[in-house]
Amino acid sequence: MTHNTAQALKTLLCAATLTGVAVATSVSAAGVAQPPAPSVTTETATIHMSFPEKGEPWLGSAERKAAVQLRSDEYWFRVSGKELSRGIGLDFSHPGALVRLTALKNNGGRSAPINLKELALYQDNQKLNKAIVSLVTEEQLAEGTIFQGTAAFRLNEKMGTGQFQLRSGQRLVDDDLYIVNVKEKGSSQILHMASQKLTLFAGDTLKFSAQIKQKDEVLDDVSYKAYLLSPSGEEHSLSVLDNGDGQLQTLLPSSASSTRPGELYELYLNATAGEEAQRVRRTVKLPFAIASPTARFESVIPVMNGGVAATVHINVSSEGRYGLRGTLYGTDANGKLRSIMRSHSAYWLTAGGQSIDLAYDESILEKSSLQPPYKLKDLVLIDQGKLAVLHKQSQVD
Amino acid sequence: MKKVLSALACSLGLASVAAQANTGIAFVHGTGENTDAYNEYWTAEFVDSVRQAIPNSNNFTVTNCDFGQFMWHEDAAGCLATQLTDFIEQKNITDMTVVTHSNGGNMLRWIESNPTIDSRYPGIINAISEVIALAPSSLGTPLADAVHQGNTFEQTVGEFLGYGTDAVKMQQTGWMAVYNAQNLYGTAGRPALPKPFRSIVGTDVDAALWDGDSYCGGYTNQLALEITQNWLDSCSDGFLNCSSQAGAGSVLFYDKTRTRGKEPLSHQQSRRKCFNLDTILRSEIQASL
Repeated sequence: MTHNTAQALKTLLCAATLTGVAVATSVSAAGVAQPPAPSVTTETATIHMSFPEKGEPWLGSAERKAAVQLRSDEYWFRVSGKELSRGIGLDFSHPGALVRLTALKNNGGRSAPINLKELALYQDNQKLNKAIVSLVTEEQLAEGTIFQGTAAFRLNEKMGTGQFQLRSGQRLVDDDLYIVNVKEKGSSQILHMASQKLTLFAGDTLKFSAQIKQKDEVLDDVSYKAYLLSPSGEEHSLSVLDNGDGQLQTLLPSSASSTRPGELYELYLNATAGEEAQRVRRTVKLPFAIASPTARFESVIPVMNGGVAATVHINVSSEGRYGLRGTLYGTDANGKLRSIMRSHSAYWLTAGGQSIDLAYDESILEKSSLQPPYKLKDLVLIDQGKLAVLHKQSQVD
Repeated sequence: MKKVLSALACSLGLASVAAQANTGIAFVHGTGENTDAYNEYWTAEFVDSVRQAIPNSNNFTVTNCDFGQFMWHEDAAGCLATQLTDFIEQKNITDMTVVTHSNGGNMLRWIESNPTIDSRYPGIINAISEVIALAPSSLGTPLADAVHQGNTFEQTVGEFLGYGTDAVKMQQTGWMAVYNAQNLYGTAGRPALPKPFRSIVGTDVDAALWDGDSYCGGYTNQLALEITQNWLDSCSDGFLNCSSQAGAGSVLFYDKTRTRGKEPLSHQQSRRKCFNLDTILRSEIQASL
């Protein structure tokens, strides 16, 4: 096992207060082999940097919001030219919905654009007059630079809500593909989705919450269908397990693998509530990263002395650049923990067991009015080359 | 850790920095690949007016990079780091105001949030005095979701985002939520950015043939942004919701509170010499010198 702070051959420590904001940095040349591509960074120097924080109070885990919270007032689905010619069902749960039909790529070419003037809405097989309100004026059409491949309209608010059928009288190619997007702007029925963990490994269970709410009321009997879209465009259908109280989970395929650094997978969730004319449809997509286990977190030892906040032991399986970050807290006069600084350290590491330090800047600590005991919170281990969060730990005690 | 503490003397000595402050301005464009952002993205009249704010108006740079890439890409953040570092070193800049537009704000947040990923970043962060972010896409835009979903969402949106680029993927609202939660600072519930990040928020789009103000920044763009507003919140600049523009750092002001005639700044207009935006920026930069 090596201790990488001690490996530093030459270290510069910079503390600048150019605008009254102290920023401390140290950079050292590590003298190791260049990393292999692809990697976000080719940096090999050991770098430490701390920023002063503004004394924000520490929020315990129970008080924290989910890492990502999403909401949707819309739904979308794919149809073929054949289906659009025959008629597709649309559910409107809010008057004045926006509808957009976009031609997709198909067999290497672009599907034929939809002509708005050839679209018609039906209800109970009766064609509805003046149901479609164009969003584009004649003047805007004359400009010729907008809506070349997309037809978009607003449902006449007088049509109210319920089930409708949309047909195109245009001669469409059966296999051409289109996205139909219905956006119910201003609707009080919103699909909420949230997730705490945003980086997973293949085969992991993805846990998330999902609920359709009408203002504060949660709608019952919502059915969910989900699929996974990989960065390269491959779809995998997924089974969703509903644990009640809006808590859901799904198992990610073991074949899923990390791709280009920072590129995300997407979990598409289609939610349907209610029956027939009262039906509410919503779609939301949850992006997340699938990482490779390039290093394994083993343990952390709080130090809080001599510029070292903590020493972290990790087992590196893939040589590369790894970073630690965390927030240092001190105690105010009322005994509350408040933030002092955000600290960052990064190293180029070879495979095997490694001990690395998260450094803090003592000059920032000295200027702080906060007192011991000092605590390190929100420790994160990152594979900087792959932009993968490998370990998160809210408390280090 | 003793080696860190017994560090060698630093080239950025505090006393010398304070005594010899040298102010500069960097302009960082938004999404897309630029080779002449001075003339094409910002326009010379805008840049040349804003840079009068500093004692030596020649201390400015207009960066040209490929922000059609993911923000961390070598052609994006790498290119930006090179150009900013060259500017800082060649002009001996100690106090740098960075004026960004749209996705340019995310580029600066990337550098400030990931100081240990590249040894050039600490020097840039130390030189920055503040970032003035014009209509930053801090929380992404639903229009990026639409573009990504359907391959294209027409010429207009494409002009701002490009077609099917990584920058389009990146600025989808859900993707930005992930990056904000894991890779970037400055949004609600996340650590603060090390340097002030103040945004100017565009709240509406005016497009009327009889209104001369609609022609600032190009009438065709105004028409198009008025349509894309349909897919956005009631408060938007035609490309970004106000919530996205105000999603990181602090808000310097909402357009109508300070623009001439209380005119709104569309996404096209917030990088042009429209409704006194240039003189407002000058006064803000001068006030912070």
